[in-house]
Amino acid sequence: MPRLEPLWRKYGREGLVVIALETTGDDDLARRFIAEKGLSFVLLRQEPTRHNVSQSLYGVTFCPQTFLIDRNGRILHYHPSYSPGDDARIEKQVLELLLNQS
Amino acid sequence: MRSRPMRWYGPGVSPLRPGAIVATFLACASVLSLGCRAKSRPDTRPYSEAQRRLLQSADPEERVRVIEKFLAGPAEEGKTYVSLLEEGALVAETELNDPDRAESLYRLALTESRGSRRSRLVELSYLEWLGKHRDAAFPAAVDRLQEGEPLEAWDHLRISDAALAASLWELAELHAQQALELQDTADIGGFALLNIGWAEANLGRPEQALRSFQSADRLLPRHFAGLSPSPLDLYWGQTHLLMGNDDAAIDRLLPEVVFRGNEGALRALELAFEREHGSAAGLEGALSAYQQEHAPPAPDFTLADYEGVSHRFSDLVRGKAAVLVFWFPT
Repeated sequence: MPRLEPLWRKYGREGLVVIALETTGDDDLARRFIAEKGLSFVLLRQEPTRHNVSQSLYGVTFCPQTFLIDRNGRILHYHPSYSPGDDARIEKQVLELLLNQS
Repeated sequence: MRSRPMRWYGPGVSPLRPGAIVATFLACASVLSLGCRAKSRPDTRPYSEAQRRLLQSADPEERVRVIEKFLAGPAEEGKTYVSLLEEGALVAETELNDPDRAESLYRLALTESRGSRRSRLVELSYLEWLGKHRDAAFPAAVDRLQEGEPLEAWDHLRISDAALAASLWELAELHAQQALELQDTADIGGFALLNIGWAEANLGRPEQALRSFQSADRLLPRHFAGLSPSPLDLYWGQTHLLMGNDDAAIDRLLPEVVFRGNEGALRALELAFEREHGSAAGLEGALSAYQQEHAPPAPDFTLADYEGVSHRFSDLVRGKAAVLVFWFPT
């Protein structure tokens, strides 16, 4: 997740928005983590209920999960875990999304 | 109260793609289920102290030492313990490139946990590690697990998963059968049938495997873009490939590759595509056509940030490319 900070700094001006939604509702730990890592993209919080955004809308029951969304609001890529090499894959996919203006 | 174990593996995890992901999921599942509890307790718990020190250090050697100290200290029961154990093993393996160090963490945890309630959780976690490394000690570790208190359905399922990772197909089938006999929920049945099917396919019984996958599909959910949260379509597609049903294999594997970038699925899909069309040259085109046709809209929502400011997702992303990540602090 903190790996998205350099990505956002690099492509924010080109039209990339990065949004992170913390899933456990442990605000104290989340705040500490955000300050420690110096994260500056959009950081949202939710209540840890069964009917929250992550579970009811996106079917997310484990973390981390990453969705890549094009300029028309469609989900074009989905990374249901973090595995080595994902950073490079995500950057490549982000570039594709940015280049596609339609 | 014993919380129901979460399904720990993700769709990308299969015998074709072993690695750190299983451990990551385990850590995630454990931390997710802890969210509420952690908040109401004072911060002097060994777990919180260890977490605080881990947040402050990026040095892998230091991180492993913090975790070693936690594992040997007056640590609490259960999932917090195992989640840090697995994090330590993951750091030792992927950042220090030292699998022996990872195993020594497991051995330390096994010794420290002997006779306690968390002992079973530690043993299961160690078994998963042995499975990933296709370690010869795997069957003996399964025997040890069966000597203690009777195993529950989820325990059998975890043993079955670990056996699949180790390519021990008979053992995987046996424990999935036992999970199925003890099952009390639809998803246990679904995951058990999924494992049985993949074991059957690898044991030379692909027709049976297809029937097991069909039954599993009736019990397991499908999420975004019709994707299963399990490796169902990956196994199903690979089984079709084994049987020479190349077009059926392509149907199952395409969405896995397009939306998930699943590398195991990609290798299988390339093979199926080549056999079906004589060359893999048209694959790129087929992938983007599928993506254009099937990409679903991102669901809209409104949530607040940590300053209490409310944001509507569709306003944030309008006309932009977006990365949406669901995370927990670790």
